[in-house]
Amino acid sequence: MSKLILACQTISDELNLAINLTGVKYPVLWVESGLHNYPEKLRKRIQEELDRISNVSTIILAFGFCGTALLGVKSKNAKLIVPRVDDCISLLLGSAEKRNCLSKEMGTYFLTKGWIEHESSLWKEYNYCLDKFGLDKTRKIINIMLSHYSRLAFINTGAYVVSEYKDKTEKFAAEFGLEHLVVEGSLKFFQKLLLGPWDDDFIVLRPGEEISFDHMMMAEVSQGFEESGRAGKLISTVQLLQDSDLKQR
Amino acid sequence: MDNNLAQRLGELDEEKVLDTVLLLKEKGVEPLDIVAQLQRGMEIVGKKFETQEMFLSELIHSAAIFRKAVEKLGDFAKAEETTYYGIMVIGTAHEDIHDIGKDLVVTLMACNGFKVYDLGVDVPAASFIEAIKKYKPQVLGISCLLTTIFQNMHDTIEEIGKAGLREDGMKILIGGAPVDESVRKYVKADHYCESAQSAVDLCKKLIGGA
Repeated sequence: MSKLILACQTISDELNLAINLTGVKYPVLWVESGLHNYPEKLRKRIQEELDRISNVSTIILAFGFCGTALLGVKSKNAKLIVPRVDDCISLLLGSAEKRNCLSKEMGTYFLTKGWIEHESSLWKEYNYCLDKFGLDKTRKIINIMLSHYSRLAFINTGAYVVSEYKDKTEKFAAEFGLEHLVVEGSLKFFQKLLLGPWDDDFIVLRPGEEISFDHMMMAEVSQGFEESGRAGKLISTVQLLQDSDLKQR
Repeated sequence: MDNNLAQRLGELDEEKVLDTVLLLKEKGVEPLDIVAQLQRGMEIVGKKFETQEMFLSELIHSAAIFRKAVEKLGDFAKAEETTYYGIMVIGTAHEDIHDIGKDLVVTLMACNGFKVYDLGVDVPAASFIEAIKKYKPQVLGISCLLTTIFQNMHDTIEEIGKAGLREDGMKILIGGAPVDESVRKYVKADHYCESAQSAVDLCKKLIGGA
């Protein structure tokens, strides 16, 4: 039963660490970061890679939904395993529930080393604007982007040394009047993705089956709704689909 | 018509955009014609963002320049209510705080002859219902960025229906980065909008003005 991982570069530090910890030997294909703001392009890139893979029985997708970027994605010949999370921040925190709790406390913008270095995050936007427009305009633009955020949370995923980044993220938070928080992440979702069991936290697709809107929304049917009624429906949906911030934009 | 204004906005040249707007105004060019040029500039920016020639921050910067440019035109869009194409109530879905796209729709709609009541972000169903009863809009706009919010959007629209507020022909439009036809079907909205400009075009069509 051969397995392969197709993964997003933004979470490479954490996935590589989880691979080392679990000892799995599956090969990894990396998809470049930076398409988070372009769900259709990301979908096309992932599908292109999936279409190139053959002679594998199971493909593990190490991605969050990234908005609706995974809708319609399929593997013709292999089983596809997909974490049922809105985006990789929930993966990095260990659960969508934790992400939801933090976001409900106050509007929270999340960063990791991968988001700082690879993804088109606020961090990159800030530095790009600074070069292009100077400090005054940059402040105005970033303030618009952060207008409803009150906190910047830097996730300690265990895959890098936090102190190498903390000064920078604290300075950034202070400049834009945000509270700064270092929050503990977790690799448990990654480990479960690699080793199983692939329970309700995952979408398991047969060869040829596409990721559908219903798969994304399935949580509300499968978890809690019938037993707990409307409240259960809302809670389970929120937990499993989680907010994906400035998308994480 | 002079396309320089659109090009300058497309290049995010704030000073030149504002100077050109004032120049055109002094020449007696109709405010709506100036707005149309600015909208073409926004389309240029939108295409550059799509092709990754521009960052999201530049898209936001362009909207800020657009707003400043429209302010230079004075109160042309704030005429008596009877002159409006129609009325729109708009807000970001409950538990979503993202309003960059929604704000752009508000600006474009106001420039195009609509009276817009903006309820802000994180708007619960009860607030939408109250505003619909008060302002009697022809169109209601609900935006979101978070995929986790689809259920809230669905529930809000359901509540509006239960309150009998969809019976007089008011159309519910949804928009936002993750919104597409599958989301529209799920939340049971009337239409979805791919861009701020398409929201304006659709509203004009729905209300019969264009």
